[in-house]
Amino acid sequence: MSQNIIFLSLVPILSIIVSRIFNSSKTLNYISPIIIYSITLIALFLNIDFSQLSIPFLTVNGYEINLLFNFIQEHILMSKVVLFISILVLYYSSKFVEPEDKRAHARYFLFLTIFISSMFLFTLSNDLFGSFIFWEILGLSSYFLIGFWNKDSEAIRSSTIAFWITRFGDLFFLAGLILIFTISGTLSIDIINKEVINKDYNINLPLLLIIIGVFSKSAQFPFNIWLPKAMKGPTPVSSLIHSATMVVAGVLLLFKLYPSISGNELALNFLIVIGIISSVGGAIVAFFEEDLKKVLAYSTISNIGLMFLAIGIKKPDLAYFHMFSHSFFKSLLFLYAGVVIALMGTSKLELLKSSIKLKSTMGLILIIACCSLSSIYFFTGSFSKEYIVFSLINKKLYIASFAMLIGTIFTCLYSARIFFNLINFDLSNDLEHKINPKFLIPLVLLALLSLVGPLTMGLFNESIYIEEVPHSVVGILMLQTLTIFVFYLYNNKRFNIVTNLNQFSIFSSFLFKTDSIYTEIYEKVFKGTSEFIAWFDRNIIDGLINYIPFKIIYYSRKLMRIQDGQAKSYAVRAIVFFIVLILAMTIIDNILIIGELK
Amino acid sequence: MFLLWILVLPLLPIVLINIFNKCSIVKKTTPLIGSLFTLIIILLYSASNNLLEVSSYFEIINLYPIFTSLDINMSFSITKISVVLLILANITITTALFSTYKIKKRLSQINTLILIISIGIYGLIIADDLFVFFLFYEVAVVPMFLMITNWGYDLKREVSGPFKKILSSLSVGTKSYGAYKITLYLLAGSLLIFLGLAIVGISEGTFSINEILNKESLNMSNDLWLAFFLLVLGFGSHSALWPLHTWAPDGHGTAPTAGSIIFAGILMKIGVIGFIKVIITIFNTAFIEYSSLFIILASINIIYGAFTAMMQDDLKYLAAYASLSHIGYIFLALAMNNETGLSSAILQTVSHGLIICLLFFSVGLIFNLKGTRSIKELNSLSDNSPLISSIFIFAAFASVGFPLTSGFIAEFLIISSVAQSGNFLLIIIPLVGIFITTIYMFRTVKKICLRYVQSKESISTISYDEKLICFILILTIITIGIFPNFFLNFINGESIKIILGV
Repeated sequence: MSQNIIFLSLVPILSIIVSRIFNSSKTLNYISPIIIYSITLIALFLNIDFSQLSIPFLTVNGYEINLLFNFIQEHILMSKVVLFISILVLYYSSKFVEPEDKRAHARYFLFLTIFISSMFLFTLSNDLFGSFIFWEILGLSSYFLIGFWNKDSEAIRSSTIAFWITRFGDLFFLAGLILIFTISGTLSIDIINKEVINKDYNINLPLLLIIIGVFSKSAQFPFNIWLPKAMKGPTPVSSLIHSATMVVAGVLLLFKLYPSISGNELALNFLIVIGIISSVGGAIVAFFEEDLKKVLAYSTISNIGLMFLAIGIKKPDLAYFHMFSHSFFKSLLFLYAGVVIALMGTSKLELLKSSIKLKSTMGLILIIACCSLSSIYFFTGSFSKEYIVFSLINKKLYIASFAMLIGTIFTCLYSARIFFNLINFDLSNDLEHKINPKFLIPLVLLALLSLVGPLTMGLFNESIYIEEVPHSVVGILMLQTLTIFVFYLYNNKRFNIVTNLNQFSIFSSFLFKTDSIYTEIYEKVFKGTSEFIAWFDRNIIDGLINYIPFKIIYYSRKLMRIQDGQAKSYAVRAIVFFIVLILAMTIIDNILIIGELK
Repeated sequence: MFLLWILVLPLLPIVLINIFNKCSIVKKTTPLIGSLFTLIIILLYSASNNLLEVSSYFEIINLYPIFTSLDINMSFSITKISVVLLILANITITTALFSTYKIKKRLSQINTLILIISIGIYGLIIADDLFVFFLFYEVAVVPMFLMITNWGYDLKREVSGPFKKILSSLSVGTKSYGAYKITLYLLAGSLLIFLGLAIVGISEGTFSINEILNKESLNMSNDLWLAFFLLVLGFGSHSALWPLHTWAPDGHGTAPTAGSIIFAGILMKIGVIGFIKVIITIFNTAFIEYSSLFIILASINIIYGAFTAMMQDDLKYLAAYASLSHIGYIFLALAMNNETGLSSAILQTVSHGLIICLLFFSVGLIFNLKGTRSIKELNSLSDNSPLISSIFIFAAFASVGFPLTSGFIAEFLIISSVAQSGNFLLIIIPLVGIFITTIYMFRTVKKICLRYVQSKESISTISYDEKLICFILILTIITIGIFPNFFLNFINGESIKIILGV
C-alpha cells in the first residue's frame, strides 16, 4: 500500500508528459493532477495503516543508503496540508495561466506537478539522502517556475539568482550529509537521532552545515535576497512554493532531526540568532516595501524566522504548529494578491488604493487574511505565534524578547498597511467584484480554514503534543490591545508614519537587504577571478607551452637560410664539410687505434 | 575470445562506405549498424561470461608474438571495467556518427576516420601488452589531425600578455593551429608514455601489464622512477591534467562536433584509463607516495577549469573547460586510493563521458541551427527551438551533478571517498567546484536559452535521428542516476581487486 501511494503521487507528472506527447487539450493538464492528488489526499485521510517503506538505492563502501518513507502522523499531517493547498493552487492556476499557449501551459503544470510530488515525498521521507534528492528537485521546479515568463528579463534573472543561492545552500546540506554518512554509516533519520542521543558519536559540525543549507532554502538572513526576487514568478507559484511549502521544508527537516539538534547548544543558539534577525528584519523591511507581493515575501521570511526561533528555544512542536497555520493564511494572502493584481493590473501598493470594497466577499476575506497575518486572537495564525512569543519570554531571553516585540509591532503595521491600502470603506456602492469562481473557491476555502483557529488545536492534540505555554490572560489582552492600537494609529496617521520612519527604513534596509554585497561578491570574486584566470590560461600558460614549437620554427627558419640557391656557396660548404668529415674520421680512428693498442 | 571481433568489425563499414560513396543511405546507416553490432558483440560477450553474476572477471588473450626477443605479444586482457569502458566508447562513437548527419562535405571520409578512431579506442581499452597499448593509441590520435584540418572551424582568438608575439606568430585559433597543436601535443604525450612503458617493459623483462602485476612487488629503482614520471606526464597530458591541458580547448574549439565528442567522450578518458591500468596498478607505491601532488593538481583542475569556463564566449570552449574541471574530480577520487574512490572515478569517467557527449552534441545542434556558438550572440533558444534548449538545459543540470542524473551519484561518491580518507577539509574543493559549475552553467543557460529577444524566427525542431541519440544519452544518464547500484555492483569487485593489488 505504501508503495502504491508513492507511485500514485508520481502519476501526474507522467500524465502531463503523455498528454503533451499526444498534444491533447489544455484541460487535461490540470484535471488529471487534481484528480490524482485528491485520491492521494483521500487515501491519507482514510487512515489506512501504511507501513514504513524502504527502497535500496546505493551502496557505498558496504554501507547501504535506502530511501525511507515513513507514514507517521507527524509526516502525514504536513503531507495533507501540502496536497490540500496544492489542489487549490492547481485549480486556481487553471484559470490563471489560461491565456498562455499550449506549450507554456504544459510546461507550467509539468513543473508544478513535479514540485508537488517531490514536496509530498519530501514530507514523507525519513532519510537524509531521499530528503536531499527531493530538496534539490524542489529547487529545480522553483527555478523553472520563477522564470516562467521568460520574456521578462527580470524574471529570468531572479530565477537564476534564486537557483544560485539555494544551490549554494544545498551544497552545505550535501557536505553535512556526506560527513554524517562518513561518521555514522547511515542516513536514516531515526537511527541517527537514536545514536546521537545515546552519544555514540558527535555530529555537531555536519548538523550546523545542514542548518546553513536549510537557511538558504528558507531565505533566512543572509540568504534572504532571493525570496523577494522570486515574486517575479506567477502568483499561484509564489503562493504554493514561496510561502506555504518549499520555503518551510527546512523547518520540517529540522523538526525531523530535532532529537539530534537538541543537545547541540551551538546549533540552537545559531537558530535563535538567525531566527530573530530574519523575523524582526523581515517584518521591518516588509513595512516599507512598495510592492504587495514583496511585502508578503518579507512577511514569509519573518514568519519562517519565527519557526526557526521556536526550534532554537527547544519548542519544535510550536515550530510545526506555526508552519501548519502559516501555510493556510499565507497561501490565502498570496492567492488573494493574485486576484487583486489581476483586477487592477499592478502590484504597487500605492496604485492599489481602495480597490476592494468592504461589503463584498473579497472584503470579508481580506479582513480574515489580515487578521490572521497580524495574529489577532482567535484567527489561525494567532495561537502558534503567541505561544512562541510567550515561550521566548519564559526563557528569560530579554533582548530577544524585546526584538520580538518590535517585530510583532511591525507585523501589525504591515498587516494594517495592506488592509487600509486595499480596502474601500465606501458602503454605498454595493456592486460585487466580478471574480471568476475558479479564483474565488480556493480563497473562500482557505479563508474558512484561517477562521477555525481554535479547532486546529484539537487537530494537533492527536498527532503532536503541544505543550501548554504558561501565559496570563493579561498578556494576551495586552498583545491584542497593542495590535488594535497599532491598527488605529496607522489608520489615522497613515500618511505620516512611513515618512516619519524613513531613517529607520534606510537603516534596516541597509542591514537586511544585502543585494549589493552579493552583486559585489559575484562581480569581484567570481567574475574578477575567472576573468584573470581565463586570461592567464589563454596567454601565459598557453604562451609558455607554445614557446617550444615557436623556438623550433624559429631555428628551422634560420637553418633554411643556408639554402640560398647559389652554386658557389654550396660548393664552399661541400668542401668545408668534407674537410671537417675527414678530420673527424681521423681523430676518431686514432682514438680507436689507441684504444685497441691499450 | 570473440570480443576481439570488435577490432575488425569497423573495417566492414569502412569498405562499404568507400565503395558505395555515392549512396547516401549506405553512407549514413552502415557505420551505425556496424556500431550497433559492436554493442551486440560486447553484450553477448558479457552475457556468455555471466559478467553480471561474477564479482570479478579476467580473460587474457594472446594472439601472436610480435617481437619474441623482447617478449612483446599481441595480447589483450578483458576485465569488467574494460567492458564498461567499451560500452561507453561505443555510445560515444555512435553519438559522433550521428553528429555527422548534417555534414555534406565528404561524409564517407569523415565516417571512415571515426571508424578508424573507434578501432584504436577499442583496442586501447582491452590492450594488455604495453606495446600494443601504444600502437592503438596512435591509431586513435592520428586521424584526428585529418578530421580537424578538413572539417574544422577557424576561430578568432585575441592574445595579449608577455607571449603575445609568440602566440600571434603561430596564428592561434585557426584550424590548422588546432590540428597541429592537438596532434603534436598528444603525440609528444604518447612518446613520453612509450618511453616510460619501454623502460618498464625492459627492466621487468616483459611488456604484459598482467605479468608485471603478477610479480611480487616493483623495486622502485631510479629507472622506474623516471618511467613513473614520464608516464604521469604522458597520461596527464592526455587527460588534460593541469598545466598540460591547453590542447583541449583549442582542439575542441576547432574540431568538428564529431571530433569534440570523441575527444571529450573517450579519448580524454584514455589518460584516466592509463592511470588506472598502469600507474595505479603497477606503480602503486609511488602513486601513494605522490598522492598529495595528485590531490593538488586535481584541485587546481577542478577550480581552475571551472573559473576559466565561466569567462568563455564560445560554447565549445566552455564545454572543454567544463570537462577539464570534471576530469579533476576523477583524479581527486583516484588520489584517495580507496575502493569508493576508484569506483567513483570509473563512474565519473562514464558519467562525464555521457554528459559531455550530450553537451557537445547539443552545441553542435545549436551551431547547425544558428551558425554561431558565441554565447553573446545566441538568445531565446527556449522559445525558438525548445527541444534543443531542453537538451542543453538537461546537460547543464547533469553536469552540475543534479540528483537523479549520473553526475550526482558520481560526485556524491567522490566527495564520500574524500571524506572517507579522513581529509574532512578537502571536501570543500569539489563542493566549490560544483558551485562554480552551477554559476557558469546557469549563467549560460540564462543567456542562450532563456534570454528573450524579439525576432521573426519560426519554431524549429530537430530530426528523428537526432532525437533518438539524445533520448538514448538522456536515458542512460538518468538510468545510472536512478539505479546506481546496478552499475556500482558491476564494477565494485574489480576496484577492490585493483586497490588490494591482487
